[in-house]
Amino acid sequence: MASAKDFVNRIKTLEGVAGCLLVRDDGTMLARTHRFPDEYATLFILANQYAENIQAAAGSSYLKFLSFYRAGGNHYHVFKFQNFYLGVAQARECDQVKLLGQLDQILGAIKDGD
Amino acid sequence: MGVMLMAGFLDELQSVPGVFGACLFHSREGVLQTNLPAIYTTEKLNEIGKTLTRLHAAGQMNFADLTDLSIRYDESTLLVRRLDEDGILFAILDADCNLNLVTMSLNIIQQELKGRNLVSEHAPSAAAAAASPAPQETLGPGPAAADVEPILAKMKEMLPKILGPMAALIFDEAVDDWREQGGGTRKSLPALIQLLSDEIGDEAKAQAYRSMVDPLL
Repeated sequence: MASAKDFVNRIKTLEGVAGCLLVRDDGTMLARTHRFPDEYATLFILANQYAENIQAAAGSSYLKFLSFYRAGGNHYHVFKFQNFYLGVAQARECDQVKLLGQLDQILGAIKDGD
Repeated sequence: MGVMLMAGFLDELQSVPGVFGACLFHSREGVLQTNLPAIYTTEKLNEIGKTLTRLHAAGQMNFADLTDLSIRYDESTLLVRRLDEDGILFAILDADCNLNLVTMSLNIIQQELKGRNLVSEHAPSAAAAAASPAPQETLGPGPAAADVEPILAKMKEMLPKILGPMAALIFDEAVDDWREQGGGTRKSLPALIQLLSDEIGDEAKAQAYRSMVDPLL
């Protein structure tokens, strides 16, 4: 994988991405395109843990991502891949379905080792 | 009235294409109402509800303007909205479900629930409980039969969750038998439920169906 900085910069080029950050699963902030609060790293870990607990209780298959929908429209999506969390702030006006599809594809390719 | 009202909201949400069902959960009271398939037992829903309540609270600590939260799994999506300090509503959706449609329905439901106490709305009031069965006991067959129709419609809607696509046919036949045996009133609904339980054949599934329809009685 490219360096953490290169990676977030690549994600940032996707249409509809307002900013993003990459966090290791031990909570270390690796790279960010904006001044995201450090607390986001804790939220990512906690939220994924909760989502995995629900996955077990509901008998769902694997977790793809979480989305936090905000009144202002700048929604936030969190993906887990390998030992990392990618947080993506969505631009207010964007094609969310397209954006999430692109992110899923990119991260899927990384998971598959492309 | 409260139970029916809440059940009505959940059924309205379930009518959106791609929505499997929903659950109204209270952090202290547990599951208040649900129309999710029987495989989501009360125990499971309580566990899911508690975790979602915590997850939503964690999200709100970081995003003060958080409205909804969704978790996308491979085959389904879980959408959560906080209704008040203690109550959340969560829905289980098909992975490709149109989230905008669902959130719009949630907005309408939330608007209609505004200012209502979820727990007291859920619990049938003593006055209602005392008042509603009595007139049905004393009414003649005409009005009583009319009164039972909306309940039968709801019961019929719930049966496919247990019996699948043949449910409507089985339900209609059971209702015919029930009427032939002197049923047709609200008072005699337990006999219909027994007939349906016999048709279901599986005790666990029959129990799940009874749990779903009991609030209607």
